[in-house]
Amino acid sequence: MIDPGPLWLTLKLALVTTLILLGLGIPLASWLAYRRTRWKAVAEVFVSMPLVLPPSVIGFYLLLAFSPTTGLGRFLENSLGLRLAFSFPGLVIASVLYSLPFMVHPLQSGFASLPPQLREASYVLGKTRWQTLWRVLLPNMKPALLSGTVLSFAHTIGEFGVVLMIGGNIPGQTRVASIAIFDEVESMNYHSANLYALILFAVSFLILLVTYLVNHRITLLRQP
Amino acid sequence: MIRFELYKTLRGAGRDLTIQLEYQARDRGLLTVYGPSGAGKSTLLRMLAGLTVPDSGYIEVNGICWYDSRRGINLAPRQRRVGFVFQERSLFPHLSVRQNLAFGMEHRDPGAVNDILRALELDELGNAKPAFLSGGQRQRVELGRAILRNPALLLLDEPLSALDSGLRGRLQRLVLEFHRARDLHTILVSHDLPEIAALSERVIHLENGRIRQAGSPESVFFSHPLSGKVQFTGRVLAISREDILHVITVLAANTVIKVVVGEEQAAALSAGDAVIISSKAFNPLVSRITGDGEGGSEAGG
Repeated sequence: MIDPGPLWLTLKLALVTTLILLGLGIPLASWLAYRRTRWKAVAEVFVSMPLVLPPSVIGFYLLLAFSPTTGLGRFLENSLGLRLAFSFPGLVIASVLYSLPFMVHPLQSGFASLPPQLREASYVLGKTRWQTLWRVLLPNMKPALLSGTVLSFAHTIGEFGVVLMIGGNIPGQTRVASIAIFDEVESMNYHSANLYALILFAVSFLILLVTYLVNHRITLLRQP
Repeated sequence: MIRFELYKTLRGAGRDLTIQLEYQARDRGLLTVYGPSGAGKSTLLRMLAGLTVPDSGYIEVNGICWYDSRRGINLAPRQRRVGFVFQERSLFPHLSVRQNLAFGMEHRDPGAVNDILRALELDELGNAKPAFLSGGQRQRVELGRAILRNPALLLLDEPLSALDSGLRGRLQRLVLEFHRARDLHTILVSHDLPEIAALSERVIHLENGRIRQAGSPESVFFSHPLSGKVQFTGRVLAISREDILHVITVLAANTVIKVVVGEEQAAALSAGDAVIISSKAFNPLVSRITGDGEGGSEAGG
């Protein structure tokens, strides 16, 4: 049998990453959707970079940043007591950066597709920006919220290169399922690799299937 | 008392529009803003509501300053006590009619919501979602929601333009009832002359961002010297020659009219020309149109 540890670690990483991305992605996406500043283009490029860069590039720079030999790494370790390279918190930070576009893009188009008068009506009816976000905007973009959440979750499950670069292969710490597959193949344990791979395949398939079904239902319910 | 003086330059694709408006009224007569599209009517309402920031000027409603560029005051829309009925649909799709109505209320008051549902004749639709309402029902909910906000200033941006005339009349009465019963300052944007005449005590005629004329509807629209002359404008559709006569066919509003003209006049006109047709010799006949569409009693001749 295979060791279930990497699978649990993968789920934990995906869950934590997705929650952080929700907290980060909603304000960021609404800022990108509604603000018109010259910085917006730069911010958009940074958000989208993980889509085009090889994971090894992001992993490499994060490794440098986390390393005790650099200024940032020293500051993190000496002042905050954080050692991020080859640790679970480091993996979470890397995953958040790497999956950022998968959360922000659906949310940004969700915000942009809402009619502007919904927001304005809410302001005129006495609500603040936050109240408007919670009570008017988010409830009317459930498909976008669901897409962002699921894509981030699924993308984190499928992460490999970044994790390998900054996480290594430490059992219980950074050895997620995708790394375990690679490891088993390297050790010629094709049966175990196959089991891990099959489970990841099934989980990803189910998550996406449920999302599309639910999104389809939400869209149907909206029409009278 | 409402006073404002507003300056704003809007950058457009073709040309810039400079809005330059000054207005004040001591009493609470319903004010209608009238003018061609692109004259700055909606922008005026948006500036009053705080949704568009003017370049400079001030806004004061009932002694409270909402905006003053010199003193650096600019209250957020939520601090302004404004009821705004938008031209586009703005009901919250995920909330029921009742929840939409109560959205802007400062304190929960189901009794007030019930009262307004009754006044709007929407008693049975309290739990329906906006997607299931007709255009007229939606507009009534929008109006009710703005009223329940308990505004000092009610702004209506062509709220009735998409409705048929029967519904329009009912909603106009509702607007007027609310305006009077709740002692509001109301500003209505409208294109519809009968509507303006029926509702407003004051009219601003806006053109290119400036007030061209202001005053009572009578003085703005009916100020020409009184005469029995019938006159309307139209466009020439065709010019034809029948035996010894020249006949031009003119489209006036939705009616096609044939008029006999002299040879010289026919030569001077061509299809597409805008013309004024008037009759000065005869007193026109006036007939009331009854509900079933047939001519009614004659009132002149």
